[in-house]
Amino acid sequence: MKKLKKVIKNNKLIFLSILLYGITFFVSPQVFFKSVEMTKVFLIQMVEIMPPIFIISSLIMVWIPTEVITKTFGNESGFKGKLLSVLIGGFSAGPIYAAFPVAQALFYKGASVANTVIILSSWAVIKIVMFMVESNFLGITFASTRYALTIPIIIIMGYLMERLVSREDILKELNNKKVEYKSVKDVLRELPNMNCGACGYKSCQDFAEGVMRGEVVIDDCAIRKRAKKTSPVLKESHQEE
Amino acid sequence: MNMWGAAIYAIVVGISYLYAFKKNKKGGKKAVKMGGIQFLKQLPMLISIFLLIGLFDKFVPKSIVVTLVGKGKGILSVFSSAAFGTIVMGPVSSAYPMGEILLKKGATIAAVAIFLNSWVMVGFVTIPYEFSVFGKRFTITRNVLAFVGAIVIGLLTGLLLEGRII
Repeated sequence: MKKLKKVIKNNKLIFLSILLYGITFFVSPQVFFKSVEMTKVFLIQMVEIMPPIFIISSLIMVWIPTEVITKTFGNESGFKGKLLSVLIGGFSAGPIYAAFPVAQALFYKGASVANTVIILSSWAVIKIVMFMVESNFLGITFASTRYALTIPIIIIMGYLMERLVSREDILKELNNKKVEYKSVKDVLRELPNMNCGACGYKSCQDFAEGVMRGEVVIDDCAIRKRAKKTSPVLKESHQEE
Repeated sequence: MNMWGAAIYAIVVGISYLYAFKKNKKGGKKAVKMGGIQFLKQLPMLISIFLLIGLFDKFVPKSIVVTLVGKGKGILSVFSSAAFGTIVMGPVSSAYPMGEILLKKGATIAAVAIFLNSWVMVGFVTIPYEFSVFGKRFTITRNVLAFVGAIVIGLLTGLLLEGRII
């Protein structure tokens, strides 16, 4: 029973959608079948879009040096960085959810909050390949006016975001996600293994056993505390080197 | 997904691969592995989002929207187009024909532009996914800003093209 609860809790969304579909099926079978049909189209689209997206984002993580991203999209990148972010989004294809993994990778590697938002928004709105399609349906004046207005507004949105949400806010929230460790070995892998003793335990091994017993949490490790400002993903890649 | 998009993706991914493997064999392999793991991890989330998008799309009858946005005057058309664009989400290619229908039914330019921008930028259904990628604070702020931004862009477009805001 407990296990079932956990499964549901971890997959809230999918259970919610199954529930909604169940209700819909009884209330209006017609809507149900139409929705399933629509989802099928989306799934096919996803199979085309998402695998390359995840590969691109992990390629960014693995082999673009942090300094390069920080220099191009970081806080110091200025207006040029903003413009480049608009272009990256503009040349992409796919809906906004495809942009999330890529933008996250860039963010971890040092892109500023403003530029992350600009990439996300322009990815969604500015589609250079779709410009002609839009003109066909809604007229070229409409399309070009909308584009001309959207670009500055997106950049303003980036500036506002930078003011409202700090980089640390986001990293803190993402870092604090509960990680469950299955064994002492799992904990040890996340520790510096310097046996410094600053936590009060004799060695990292003892500390890890303490974490498993629930006496301490992993972030009580003095060295980890110091390193907390870096992103979780960056930490991972450091360990593997 | 249109042909163009697919072709561009294929090229970008192909080039990145070649470059990655040439430069650093181990790194390239690691990237593919990491990408795969990340994809599988997020798969349940993505599937449920698609299920919800499909359901929302069919749940809000298009005819109601056309009446509200198309015949609604003033502030009502602004908010109904923004709300509709926010709740329903879909590929941008299906938003264009919808916009055309709205224009023909008498919607203002502003309303159509608001609808288009909020359709792609603000995602009610994708919020849980965005939470997991960027955290709650970022997600909520971004969506609120995008919602306001979509309205501003729309109103300005209307002002420039029709000489009126609503």
